[in-house]
Amino acid sequence: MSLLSVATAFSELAIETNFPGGNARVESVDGDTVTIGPDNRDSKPWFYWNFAVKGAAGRTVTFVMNPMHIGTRGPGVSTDGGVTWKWLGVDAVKDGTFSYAFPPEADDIRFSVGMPYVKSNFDRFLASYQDHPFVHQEVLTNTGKGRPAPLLRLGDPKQKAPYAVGLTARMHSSEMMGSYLLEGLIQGVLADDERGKWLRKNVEFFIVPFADFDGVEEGDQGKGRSPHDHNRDFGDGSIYPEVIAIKDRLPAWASGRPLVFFDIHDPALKGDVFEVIQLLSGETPGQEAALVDYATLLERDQQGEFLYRKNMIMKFGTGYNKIDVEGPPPIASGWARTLPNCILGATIEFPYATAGNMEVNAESTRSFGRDMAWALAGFLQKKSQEEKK
Amino acid sequence: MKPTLFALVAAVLSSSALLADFTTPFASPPYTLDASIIGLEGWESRLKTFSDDGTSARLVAVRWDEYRPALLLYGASIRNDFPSTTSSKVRVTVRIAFTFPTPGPHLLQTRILIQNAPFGEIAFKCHPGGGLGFGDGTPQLKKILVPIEQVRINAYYTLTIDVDYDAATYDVAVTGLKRDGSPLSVEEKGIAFETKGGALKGLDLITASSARTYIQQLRIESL
Repeated sequence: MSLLSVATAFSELAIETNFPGGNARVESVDGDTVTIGPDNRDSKPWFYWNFAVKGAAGRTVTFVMNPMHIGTRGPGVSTDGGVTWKWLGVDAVKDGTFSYAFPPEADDIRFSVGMPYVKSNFDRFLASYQDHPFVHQEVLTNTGKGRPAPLLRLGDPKQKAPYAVGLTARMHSSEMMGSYLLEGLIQGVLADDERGKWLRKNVEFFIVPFADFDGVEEGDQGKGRSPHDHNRDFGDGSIYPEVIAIKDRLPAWASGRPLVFFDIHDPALKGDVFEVIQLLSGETPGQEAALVDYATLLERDQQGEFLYRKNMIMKFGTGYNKIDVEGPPPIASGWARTLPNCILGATIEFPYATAGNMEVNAESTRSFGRDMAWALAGFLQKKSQEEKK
Repeated sequence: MKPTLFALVAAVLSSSALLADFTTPFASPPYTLDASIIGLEGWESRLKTFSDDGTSARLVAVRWDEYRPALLLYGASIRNDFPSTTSSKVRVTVRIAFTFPTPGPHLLQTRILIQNAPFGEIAFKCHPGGGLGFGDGTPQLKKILVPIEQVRINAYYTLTIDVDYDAATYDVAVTGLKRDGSPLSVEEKGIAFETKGGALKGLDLITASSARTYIQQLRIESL
């Protein structure tokens, strides 16, 4: 594994990144004060970091960072090796500096800009569906570094459903909160309720949980990667195996069926429009209308911990939903919208820590994913009724 | 039950002895899932000019509560002129939950105004210093039963208020969950009030559009 390993010895204190998703650049260690920040590697300056502290049991360690690299609820903290995370709280941070009192028995505490999510998290999530007849785990393709990138298909193996849905996440490998959203969507599809049953009967799902799988496992920023990142690889001459496989396999799999495609992202770390759930509409009136239809149902039927409003749709050409090219932008959702059977293709931007003044965490994010699945069923049911008329 | 002057007056004022109490059997017809309750069993918009699109006061199966039905309110302003209570002892029961943002400077609130209630409004105020309790129409609660820091999103709170007009006191109890998921139980007994209104009669429900309120049960009983 070509992971960066930084073990800085001071007494017994060690800062480590030699685990999946690990990322940090240690500037200095001065007694119990660690100056640390993100390792950008081949990306433009960004804010993802994720490190473990060992050998600090019983000590209070102060971490000094660039304030722009800490989110609205402080750093994420995991005391179980990255399985579960909590926010340390914004009050614990002052000018980018926070301290942590390590319990006497603590031998591996992790800190991150968010709530990191790697393949082992996904495997743990899928374990509860191991024998589910509608869950099919496959390999999308081998990555540039030879890893088998996961592909998850959901659907009834005994019949061909009339609708197709493609879901992708982690085009930018560091955007981990999108993975919890994806978990919620999957939970909604597999739920034992009327909408879940309808989805499983009428829709097949093609799900790419880690579109930049090497980046996820190695803890890369992914965003702004050189020469371009995975979400800018959907034009001609794609270079990343996962993107090439999506462009090759998804249209063939959909086989002309009406297709909904959602590409799940996290935006910038904090501030203004980055602390709101955003659905980014497409460049045509038809795509925009379809997204409004979907968002209307989402707003009406949501029951999770967030309060999405359809007026949060970011229209094409506004805010950060614009690219200086003619026609559909060469991003995942833009590419999907070029498919003739795509009835709705959109990018979802889900904040890191605060969405509409509400706390983003693993479970609250899953609750929004479940709401998205519920609304997706409503959207396709409406389409189905319109087609029957 | 020993008749009192209050009960006699209440009985005279009541328009229907058969419907002296009010309850919300949301699980039974004419209520149906995914439909507005406006126009059913006395529920109507408070303002004649209010244009209801069918979403502000709707019966839903609550997914986080094992699909049990509840009235979902957002941006609602509705009323129900139920007949007067008829006894000197009255119990009000409300089972209610909220989805709300982190408390901020803006005022988000849910108000249940029962006419002549000696405890004031049942109110949820989502701002620092707010919470679930009793209000008087002003921005601040006059009695906080569950502070906003302890109110858990999408978790039911059951308020039981026993009014004794003879003793001119009421008891209140709240059960539910704290923010961290542990059980919550609050009880206060013998809260004195000055009798100045008549029997309980009619209620208004007003909720903010940027928060959501679930009411699973709303019952007003003459004991």
